[in-house]
Amino acid sequence: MNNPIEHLNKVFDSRIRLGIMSAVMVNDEVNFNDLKELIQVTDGNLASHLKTLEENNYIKVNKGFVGRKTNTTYAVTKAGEKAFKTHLEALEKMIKGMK
Amino acid sequence: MKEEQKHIEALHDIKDMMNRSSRFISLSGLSGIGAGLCALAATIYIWPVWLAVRGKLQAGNEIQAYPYPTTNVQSLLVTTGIITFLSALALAFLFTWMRSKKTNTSIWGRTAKRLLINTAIPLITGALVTYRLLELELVGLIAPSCLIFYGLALLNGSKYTVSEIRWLGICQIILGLINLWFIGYGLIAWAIGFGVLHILYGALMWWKYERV
Repeated sequence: MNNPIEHLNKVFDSRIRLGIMSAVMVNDEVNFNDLKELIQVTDGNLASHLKTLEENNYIKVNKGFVGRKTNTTYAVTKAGEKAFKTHLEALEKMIKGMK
Repeated sequence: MKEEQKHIEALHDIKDMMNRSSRFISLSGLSGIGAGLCALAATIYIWPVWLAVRGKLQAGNEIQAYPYPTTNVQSLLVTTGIITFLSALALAFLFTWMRSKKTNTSIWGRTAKRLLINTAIPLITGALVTYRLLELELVGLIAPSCLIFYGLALLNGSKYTVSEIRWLGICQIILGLINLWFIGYGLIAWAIGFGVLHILYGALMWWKYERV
């Protein structure tokens, strides 16, 4: 009997990280300010969660410029996509299993 | 039980975030109703001219009672078309703006920009084609051309906003295509497409998402 909980990813336990992943999954890239507005968190909080995802190789960071302003965008990596899908499937299975 | 609730909430959050980050969802159903009413008003305004032009075409000669010189019919159609489009757009903007105030989402962002660009391309193409048809006096093709290009614009835009718009687009295209084989009923097709379908769509959307 395999336990669906083992497929639940600890990294996606946080609501904010879940939000970031959802946004980068459906967009080619998302910039910092858009993420901040979507998830409604403070700069520092968002930055630390982005860092965690980056360290896990789930998202890649692209530092660019719009005029003179820095414009940092984030995109999902192949590994991130796979991990997120596995996590979603596990969530679904758990809900179905509980009913 | 509590666990289950937590996971359901997580899935709900994910879906919501995916939608909000990639689609412009503030589009109000009332916008559709507003646009539909504008189109119906324009139809009523154009109706006598249309009857006269049709009568003239069918009789093959000038009708004495025909109140509009031919050259003016074209400019009348263009002016009415542009005024209708602009007032529909203004109403759509107003209702959408009111909705975004209520739901506290920003109206001008990446998603709005993408929606605008992707609907504008087929729409402007269609406007130019339609204008050229009018110049060539192919009056019977104007309504189908409006409907088909508008439908294509909606279909293209539906990827960037509420997905139900896709069905509105498909209905407009079908109506336009049918009209191609029933030339002479353009104004009626136009009124059904831009008037009735808009109102139906708007009312459904409002009922589904905005009713309190």
